[in-house]
Parts: sequence; C-alpha cells; structure tokens
Amino acid sequence: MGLAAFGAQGPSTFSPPPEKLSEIATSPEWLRLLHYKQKFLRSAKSEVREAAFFISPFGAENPRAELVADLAAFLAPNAESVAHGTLRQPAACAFPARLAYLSRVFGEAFSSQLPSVSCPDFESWSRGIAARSVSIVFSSAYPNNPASMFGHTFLRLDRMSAVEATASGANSLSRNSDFLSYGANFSASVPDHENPVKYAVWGLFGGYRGRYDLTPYYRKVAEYGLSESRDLWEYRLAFTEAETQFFIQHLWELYSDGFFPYYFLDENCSYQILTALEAVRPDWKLSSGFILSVLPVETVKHLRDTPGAIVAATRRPSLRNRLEAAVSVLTNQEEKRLRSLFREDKPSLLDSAEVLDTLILALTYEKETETTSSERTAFMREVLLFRSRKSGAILANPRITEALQGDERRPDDSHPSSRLSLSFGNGQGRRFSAFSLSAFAHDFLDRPNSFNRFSEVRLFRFGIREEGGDFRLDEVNLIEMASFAADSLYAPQKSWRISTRWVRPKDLAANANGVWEVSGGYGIGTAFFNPSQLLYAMPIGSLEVGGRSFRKDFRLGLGGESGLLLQPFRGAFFSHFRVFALWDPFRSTVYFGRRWRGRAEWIQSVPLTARIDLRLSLAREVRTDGVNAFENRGTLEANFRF
Amino acid sequence: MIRSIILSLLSFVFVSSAFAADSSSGCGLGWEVSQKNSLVSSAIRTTTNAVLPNTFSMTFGTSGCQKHSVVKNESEQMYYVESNLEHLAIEMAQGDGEYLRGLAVMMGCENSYGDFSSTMQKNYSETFSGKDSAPAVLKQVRNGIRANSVLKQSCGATT
Repeated sequence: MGLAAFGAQGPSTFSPPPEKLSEIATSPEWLRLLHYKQKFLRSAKSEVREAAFFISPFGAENPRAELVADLAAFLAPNAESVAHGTLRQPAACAFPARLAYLSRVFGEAFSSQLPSVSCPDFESWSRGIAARSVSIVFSSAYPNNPASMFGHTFLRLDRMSAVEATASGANSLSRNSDFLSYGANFSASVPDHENPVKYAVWGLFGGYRGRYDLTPYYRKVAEYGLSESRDLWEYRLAFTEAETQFFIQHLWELYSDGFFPYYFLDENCSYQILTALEAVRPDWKLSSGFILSVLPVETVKHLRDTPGAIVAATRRPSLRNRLEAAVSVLTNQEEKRLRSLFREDKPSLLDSAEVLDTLILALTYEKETETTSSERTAFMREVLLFRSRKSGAILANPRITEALQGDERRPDDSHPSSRLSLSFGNGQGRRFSAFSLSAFAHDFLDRPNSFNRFSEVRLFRFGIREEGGDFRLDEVNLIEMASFAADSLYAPQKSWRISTRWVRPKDLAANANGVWEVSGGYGIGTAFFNPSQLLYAMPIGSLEVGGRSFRKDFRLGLGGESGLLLQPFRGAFFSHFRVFALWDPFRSTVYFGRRWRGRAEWIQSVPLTARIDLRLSLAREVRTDGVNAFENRGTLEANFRF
Repeated sequence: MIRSIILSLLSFVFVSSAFAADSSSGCGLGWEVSQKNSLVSSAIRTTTNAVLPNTFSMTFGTSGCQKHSVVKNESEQMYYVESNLEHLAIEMAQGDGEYLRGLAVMMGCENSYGDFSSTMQKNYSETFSGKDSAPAVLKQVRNGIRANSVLKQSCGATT
C-alpha cells in the first residue's frame, strides 16, 4: 500500500512527505508501540504473533507499511464502520495509543482530518480501571521453596480514588484505592493437566501464547500474600498523568490483540511487562541488556538502575510474615494464652485485642495452608464475636510494624545472581587452590535479600581444583537447593535439602574417578534464641553412581545432618556449624573397613560489599578405615558476584 | 545451538524437579501460567463484563451482569463483598483493615471511615449471623449506613 492510498480512500488532504513517514516509521516510539525488535543480523520483526494487531498485511515485518496503513485506516471517512482487531472495532478504538502517538507527531494537520468515532467499549474499560499511575509489583519467593525465589512480576493500574475523581480535596485513603486497583498480568495460556515434558519443551521454544489479563488487585493480594504467603513489593513508576493514559491506551491494544509467543526463560511475563512500559518510555531502554534469561528479580533491579523510573517502593508483607511478627511481639504470658486458645480453648472477654488478633492471623494462616474442619470455622466465628467487642486494632500496633520493618529486604537490593569463587586451602599439610563459577548462587551466608532468610540455591556450578600443580575438574553441580525454617505451632514448616551433581568424592583416593551423586534430606528446625538463628536436624540419604572405587558401581549413604545457622548482626557476620555422618549399609567401597564417613565444619562469612565476601572454613573429615582416618582442612575463599 | 542445549538442560532439570510444585501460579524461573483462556472468552469478557473478570458471572450468576457493557456500581460492590467475605468478617470484627477500607470506598464512605468502621464493628454480630451470603451481608452493611445519621449523609453510593 503506497501513499496514493490516502487520495484513493477519501477526501483527506493529509499527505505527509515521505521523509517524515520514514522518520516516524523508524522512531523508537513507533517501533516500541508495535513491539518491533531488531534481532541479530535480521530485519525488524514484531514480537506480537497476531495478525489482527496489524492493519497492513505486511505490518508484522514492515514498520513503514504498517504506519501508512494505520494512517489510512484512521483517516478513512467510513472509519466508524470498518472493523479491525479481534474485537472488530473501528481502527481508532482498536489502536487508541497509535492514534494518540500519530496525533502527537503529525499535529493538527493530521488530527483535524480524523472522522469522529466513538469507542464505548474502550471508554467503559478505561473508566472502570480509572488509572492514576502505574506500579510494577514483584512477588517474592514462597516460604520454604527456594525454587520460586526468582519471583514474579505483574502490573498494578493504580486507581484514582473517588475523592480524587471528584477533585474534592485530600486523598486520605489512597492506600485503599491501591487495594481496589486492577492488576494486569502477562501469562501463558496452558491447558490444565498439561504433560510436563510437553510443558517444558513448548515453554522453552515459545509454543504457548502469552497474553494480558486483568484482575482486581485485592484478588492478587489474596492469591500471593494470603494463599501463597509471598511478600509483595510495589514499585510506583514515574509516569505522568498523560503517560499513564497513554499506557492504558496501549494496554488496551495488547489486551485485545497482543498475543505473544511465551518463552519461559527470556520472553516471559517480566520481559513483556518491560516492553509494554517501553512503549511509553522508549528512553528507559528496559528490555535490552538481558543475556539468556530474564529473571523477574533482575527486571526490578533494571528498573531501579534506570534513573527516575521508580518513585516509591512499598512492601506488603505476606500473611506468614505478619503472623510471625505478631507472635514475636507478644509477652511470654500472652503467648502462653495464644497457645491454649489455638488449641481451642474458649475465648473470653479478658483476652486482649492483641492476643485475639494474633489468634485470628494464626487461624487464617491455618485455613490458607491446610484444609480446616467445620469445627475450626465455628471456632473462628466465636473468636471474631469476642473480638468485635474489643476496641483497638492490630494494624495500629507500632511494635508489629517495627518487627516487620526489621525484616525488610528489598528485592532490588539483592546481590547479582552469578558467582565466581577463588579459594586457597591446606588439608593435612597439602596445599590446594580452587576456582568455581555458578550461573546462579545464593546461600544463607550471603547478605540476606528478598529470598527467605535461610535458603540456598546453586545452579550450574563448575569447579576446578589444583593440587601440587595438577588441575582437574572437581565438580559439576546441576542443582542444589536447601531451605531451613523454624517450625512453629502456628506455621508448621519443614527443613529440607536436595542436590544432584557430578563430583570427585573427597573421601576416596585422590586419583579416583568422579561419580554422579544425588542426595537429599528432610527434617526440622527451630529458632535458636532469636529468629535470625536456627538449629536444625535432618536425616539424609545419598546415592553415588559410577565410581571405580565402589564394588557395585554405586554407593548408598544413610545418615543425618545437624547444623546451627547464625546471622546475628544483620548482614555483617554469618556462621554455619554443621555435622554430618553417613553410613554405608552395603560396604560398597573396595576398602571394606570403610563404613562410616562424616564431616564437621564451621564456615564464617564476612560480607565486604554487596558483591564481595570472604569466607573462612575449618573442617574435619572422619572415616572408619583405620589408616589416615582424619583429615583437617582449612580454606579461605573469596566470592565475587556479577 | 549451544544456547538451546543449555536451555533444554536447564528447563529439564527445573521442570522435572522442584519446579513442578511452582507451576500452577508462581513465576518460577519467570513464567506465569493461567487457566486456559480462549479468544472468545477473553473477547466476551472485554465487551460484556468490562473490567470484571468473568469468574464474576460464575460466582454470582444472578446479578444480571452479563447483559451490561458498563460496570454497575452495585454489582461491583456485590462482587467485592462476594470475593472478600471472610476477610471482611475478620476486619469488621477488628474494626479496621484494608478490606474494610476498600468496602468504605466502594460504599462511598471514605470521608467518614471512622464512623463507618466503628458502626461495622458494632453491627458485627447481626451482619455475620451464621449463614453468610454476599447479598445478606451487603444488605446489613447498607442498613447499618442508613441507621447512622452521619453515614447516611456522607456515603453517596448507597442512596
């Protein structure tokens, strides 16, 4: 479709010079608005995979053809009756953001020629949303599930409060309007009970379609903050009122026609949110600079590092965190009373509002995490009846607010994900050095961040070890996760660890071949005097396959592990004491006497900066083969994060 | 090629191990999964229910919402009460909270929240008397507003 189309389709006198058209067609605003992306050595192509998103049949791959077609469609005298997009609306209604942008750049010469078109669907939609600003919401990890520590992001379209809408003065209840806002979530449509293999392959190679949907924010809070007990962090973006309106117009285009292939790792929920924001602020350059994968937590840091992008960050603590904070400020006597009430003692008018409110939190948590009986529901009713006769509210308790603030770890402050380690050590007089690289690493000796306090994840760690001038591959760690948590009456939680890796077992001969090892443990932990110190114990099992030092090609170890984790001075000094022992029921090694092996170790970490820490570890390895049964080892390690 | 191999390996490990538990609603490694939405259902949702999710018509099919193209104030209130019944019960008993504040805004009482919350707390036992349904609770809330001289004057939405 050429420029002649303008003349042919109607009496419009608007005809911009070709240079101007080329300038607009290659402007960052136009390219972002239609989600064109320049891939390496390839021409620009839109990431939207839906023909209805474009008016020109070549629109998906030709920004200029789409521009010309859009101008023609907006200007057509019969525009009101020509249907576009999935919802079959006039062009001006299907693509309001494009119209707004073109009106801005072409000015009066263009906008004065537009036929009048009314858009009742879009109008009622945007009036219902009533957005005043836009926030990006980060949902942190599930408690006790480090696998979810990458988090999730979605948008909140911050609602104008009724007070503001009538422009009648101060907005004293702005926080409630947040609650009544709409959340916009980009997600993949996956059928229920999808085959996990298909799920993995399709997800990886863009087999599913992703789209936006809208849900009231209070439902999002219920989903993430209550049912899943994940903290929500709300980052308000620095959009002007006009930019917010423009964003809503663009969101409508995406909402009705913007279907994207969904790639789990890179073109995922967090990435598409960035491209949508970029349509409003191309200068923020949000969607570039990611390699291999786009982790939600990294997108939040990306925004934080964009000057002027974020106005404010607010935390909405999860139900579990609120419960823990509420319990932590009770006196011993109050806690004793709470315990007996929790075991269904009758509430009385003598019970304080604090105790009853904490009990209500505990019962709510129980209901969200377990199936509760009808007796429990009736009990809750009774408690509420007593509570309604008490004045004073838990929200007003400053000690709880303080306890929650003490636990704040901003996700955008978390350390970079990858880690490089260098270490030097001495084991029984033999010096060694080691080098390792992890694609993703966080453990409880790191400065705590938005992850759970005592969780560990290591993915793709490669280790090389040097001893006496000999370099050899020492370890290939695919996945290692651990979560240690204080178990409590109100919020039961187990501690566990799991790992799978290729490794050279330290207790075999130095020239032994590597083995594949799978190991795991499941146990309990308890707070050791205060919530930042934890004592845990768990039975563990390990299976090693393929070692030449094994009689049956494998070795089974059954045993236990116990440890003490100390994080006493908030980010300054962390220690981990650990003892474990494994028993080999099959006498699998070629050395018959060797039925027990174990290790006691102490690791001390001193964080120097957000990216660098030093660790000292002292370990004593023990095994029952008589000769050389002990080995003492000292290691000094430096970790760099990038 | 190398990238694909790395990614396949990554995903296989993740999906087959600990991430299985996270696939229903969390993002895991940056993904988010929703119920299957057909194009038709999303289009219908857009044009008939405006900004209300279509679960509304499922959970509250009798409201007549399906026929409207604009969200009626009353159906929005009903949807809010229906969605948050348990939390509203808790916060009415406590006399404060975000759900209660949200209800105050919905009822047009944000300028007299203090009176609204204390009235709701006082009326707790009548409002939640046993078999609680959203219409019954909303009716009690409206009655409470009408019976209070301050609220009757300041809350716009219910009159």
